[in-house]
Amino acid sequence: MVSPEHFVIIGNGAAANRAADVLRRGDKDARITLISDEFFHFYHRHRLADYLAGTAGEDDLLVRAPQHYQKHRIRLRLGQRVTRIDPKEKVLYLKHMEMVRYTRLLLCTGGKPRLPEIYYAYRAHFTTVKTLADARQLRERLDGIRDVVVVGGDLVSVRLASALVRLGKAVTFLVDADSFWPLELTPERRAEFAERLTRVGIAVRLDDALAHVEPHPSGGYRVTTRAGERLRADMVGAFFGLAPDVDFLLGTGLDIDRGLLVNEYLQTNLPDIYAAGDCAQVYNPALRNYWVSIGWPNAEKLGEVAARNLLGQVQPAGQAPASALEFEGIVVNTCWWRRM
Amino acid sequence: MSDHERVTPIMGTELARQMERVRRSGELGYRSAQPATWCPGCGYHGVALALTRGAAAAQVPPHQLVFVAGAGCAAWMPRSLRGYGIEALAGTALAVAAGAKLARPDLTVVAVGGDADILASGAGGLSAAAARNLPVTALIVDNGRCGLIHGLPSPVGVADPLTTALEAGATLAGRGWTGKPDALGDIIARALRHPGFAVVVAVSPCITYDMERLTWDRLYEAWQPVPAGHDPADRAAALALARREPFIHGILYERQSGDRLKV
Amino acid sequence: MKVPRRPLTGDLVVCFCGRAGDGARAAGRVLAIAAAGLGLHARHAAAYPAEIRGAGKTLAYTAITREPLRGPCERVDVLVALSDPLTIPELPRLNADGLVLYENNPPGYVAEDMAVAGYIAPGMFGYGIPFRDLAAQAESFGRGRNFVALGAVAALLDLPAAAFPPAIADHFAGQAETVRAAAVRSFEMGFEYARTRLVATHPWRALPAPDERPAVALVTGAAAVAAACAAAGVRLVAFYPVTPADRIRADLERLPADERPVLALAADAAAAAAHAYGAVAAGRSAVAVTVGSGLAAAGPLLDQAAAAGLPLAVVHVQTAGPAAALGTSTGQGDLLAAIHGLSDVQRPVLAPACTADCFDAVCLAVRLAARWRTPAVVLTDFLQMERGETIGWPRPLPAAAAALAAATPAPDEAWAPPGTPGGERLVSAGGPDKRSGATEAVASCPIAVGLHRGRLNALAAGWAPPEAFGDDGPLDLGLVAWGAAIEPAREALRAAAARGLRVGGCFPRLVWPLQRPVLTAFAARCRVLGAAELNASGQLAGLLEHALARPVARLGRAGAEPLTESELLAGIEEALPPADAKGKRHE
Repeated sequence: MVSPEHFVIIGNGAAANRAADVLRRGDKDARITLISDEFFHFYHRHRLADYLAGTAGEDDLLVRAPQHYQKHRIRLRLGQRVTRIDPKEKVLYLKHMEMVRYTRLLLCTGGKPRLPEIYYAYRAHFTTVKTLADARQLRERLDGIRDVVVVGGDLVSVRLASALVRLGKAVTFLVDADSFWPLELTPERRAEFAERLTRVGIAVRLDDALAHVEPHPSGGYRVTTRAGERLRADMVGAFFGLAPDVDFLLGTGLDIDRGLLVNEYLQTNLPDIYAAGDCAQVYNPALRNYWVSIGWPNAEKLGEVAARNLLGQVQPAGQAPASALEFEGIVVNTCWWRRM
Repeated sequence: MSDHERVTPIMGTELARQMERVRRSGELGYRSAQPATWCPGCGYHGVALALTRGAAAAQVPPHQLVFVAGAGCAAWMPRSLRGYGIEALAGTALAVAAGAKLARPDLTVVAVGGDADILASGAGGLSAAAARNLPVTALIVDNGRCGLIHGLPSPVGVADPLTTALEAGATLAGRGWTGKPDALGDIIARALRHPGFAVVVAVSPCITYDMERLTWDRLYEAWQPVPAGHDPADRAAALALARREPFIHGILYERQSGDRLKV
Repeated sequence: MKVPRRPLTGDLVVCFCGRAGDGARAAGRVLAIAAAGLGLHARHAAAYPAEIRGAGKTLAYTAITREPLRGPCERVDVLVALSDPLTIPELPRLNADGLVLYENNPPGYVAEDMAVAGYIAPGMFGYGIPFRDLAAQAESFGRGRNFVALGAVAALLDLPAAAFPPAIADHFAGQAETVRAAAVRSFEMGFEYARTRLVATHPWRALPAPDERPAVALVTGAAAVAAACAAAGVRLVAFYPVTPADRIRADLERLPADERPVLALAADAAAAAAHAYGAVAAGRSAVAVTVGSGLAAAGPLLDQAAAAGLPLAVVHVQTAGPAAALGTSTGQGDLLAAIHGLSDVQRPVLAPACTADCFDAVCLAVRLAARWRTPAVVLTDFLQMERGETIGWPRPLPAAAAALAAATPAPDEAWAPPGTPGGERLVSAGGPDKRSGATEAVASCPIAVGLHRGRLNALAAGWAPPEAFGDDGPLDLGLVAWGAAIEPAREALRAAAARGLRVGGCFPRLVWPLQRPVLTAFAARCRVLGAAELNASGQLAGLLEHALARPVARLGRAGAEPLTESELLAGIEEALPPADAKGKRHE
């Protein structure tokens, strides 16, 4: 019998894919559609640095063979951007002027590179690497890059800076201790962090920050630090972590704080719309507060919970999953309570 | 007995005069030596005679003449005449004639067919030849029958071939009958010289199968020449006359407008 | 930042897909003309429904290469969606890194699953272009969406814009100047849009044109047939107005008046054959063009011509299926009909494999008909007639045709054409009539048929050996192909040989009568014998089975879509005898 359900998932990361698999297991007949504005199959985001360093090819990044989706009748809509949601009519509007009707919607839009407001003026000069497309572009430019200045600091930037050093680039890292992401750097951690980066071959500026960037007349950029140091760079990487990618949802009536606010069943305030993964702020009734999580295992866990609830089961997200993420030898807890 | 002796007994008689006339006309040069296979008394004999007289009168030498015939009793016509003959198939005589004329405008091409051929399966060829006013002559022998098929009635019934030809756009339309081969020959001669598509209807009794409609007796009685005062340039008058009087013979319509070969 | 763009190697295939009236064919043709003008090799073909009916789908393929094209192109590099719903089913043909151009500003949101953009897979390049808006800016009616798209294609492939206005002028030759100007403006809008917005990120482009330009011209099969009629001295070409006979007519009309045969527009296909019959009976060389079921209508006169010893040449265009509604697609289902009429006579059949062959086959058919006093059929197909291809042009008369012309018919069969005093005779299916006004009995039909059969045997014996593929050694599989199947068969054999398979091919252009000694020798070398043809029953396969007394594998299917290299390769592998442990294959 044909199921009337059409589950639409916006996103193609760990949460989205786990949710799709769970939905298919739970409903053999429903239509399931994944929509992502990224134009790649599901890939290991944390391996982008390897890709950049040339130790991994694009195929190595793939989480699973594309045939998986055909086999499980999951319709992939990749490279397609949802511009608007009409929750009353249950219609998504895509940028290429197509309407998609859903019966239940799951938002797993993840994050997008965050940039502190004080740096907005320089955003045209910054390079960010969030997606494979970003990494591809950077890889094409690598030959012309000798000096790199990295500002900010997050999980991705450390890996990336190391990769660039391995490729023979001169990397200077202006560590922004105040806005390190996703965790605050305690003084002890800062020292350990700096030492490890130095050991890799990165020139670390611990107590300095970016003051000004401008294009250099002879190509590249001229970077001035707050301490007055002047650096020449062929590339200025800005890594301030991720912010939930929910801007396009403004105006739909969804409750949005930093991310999408959902209850412990991952339901948003609108009927039949759920959220999971990096874009969601999950309510914990015991604490009467919201929590967010990052990282692959957490996203998978939330994706699975969301899918169960979409299927009509009632499963709370429960306690924040305890998980950890390793980078350059430092293990950090990827789940934390955040003051709102 | 010498030749002279054999001929002598008829010298000075009507027969001798006729023979002399025939010899002088040159029409014998258009007859082949093949014996005709039409029934004795069939109208086709007269039509063949009219054709030879017409060709002779038009002064077209036999080697410039191409006779095309389709099926039925008309199929024998090229065999009984001298000239280049082409055997075609039922319904194709006019189209074959058109091809011959298009490829060889120097030749004089005559398509011969019965009403059951040219008006039925060959109707497209009639329309096409009329549409391009192709200078060929269609000689439609109208006996209202399929004489070779046990006299089955013609598939087009008693439709008047001349009306059909006029409506299709023939620029010369004449009607004669086999009982007056001289008159029919004159019409054919006009048609052969006509610079456009000419249709000559030769009404001809089928003595084997038609005992009622187109019999010799009836035709001798009914036959009249085109009334004096008829203007052959008036197509509407020609159509009216053709419809009203099935037994009028002569040139009913002729337009010498200078329309030549159109492709 | 401009990404370095790599040139594609091999063929570059662009497919315009739209509804009838969207101008897909025009865009594909102009692209081919422009590429040819640049000194590239090009080929264009289209599949489309009956034109006036209008609602159907048009697919126009254009292939551009630096080397002469060897075979049909299966995969598409660039897909242009002039109609989204019709283009969606074509996406599987697109290469993994193919390019899709689509309308990104339709009048409103389209329903789910009706947008091409919704199906573009990772690896492909999808570019939304406001075809409609740009076309409306270019000219008030906004009909030039196809040329807007063409402009974008040209920009993305790095083809110089300057090559296109002359190509557009060529395409619209004879039409109003405003039409041409509007098309050029639309092209420029599309080119500029893509150049400024899309080109920077697009990673590949067409091969640049070589410095040395080949001496070629873009010629369709129809134009090749028309030129061959003139070259072979044909006096009359007759046809019933039906696609693609109308194309041949149009090409004939472009010939200089002193070379042009008389064009006879017939009331139907039978009348077309009748016109040609009349012309040859009147002593001039003539060709009748038939399409689809027209061959059956022309059949009785062909039989009559065979028995009467008339050199009536027929150019027959095979289509898929018997119905007019299927007329504008291709097929190879008329072989048996071309050989056998209703009577006991048979007709020699020449089947060209490509555009150049079309020219040669018509020349040869006209000359062999005259030499052997027989009707002859050139068995082309819809695709060949419509397809444009860059070939060496003008093409000389094939040497074999000249040789045929030099050889006069046997004296007892010679007869004077009408107009010759004293030569009066009758053209009759009763056989050659040698009378000149004498009372000679009409020759009988069996005599005529027997004489004709003898002529065909002599014809086959004197014919040049067919094209061969592979060496002279023993083969695991030998493939016989005819007509349009030859090109994909040749490529499939090439691919099979590259995989180490022992395969060979025999590609006769004279399909009937069979060149028995050659075919027998070829078959003797093959463990498995197959025949490739675009018909479901295996018409040549059946004839070969009968002639060679051995089974022949059928590598074919029903018509409409042309045979492809990959399906024939799959067919070859399936038909091969299984290999034993030592790699030897057994039947």
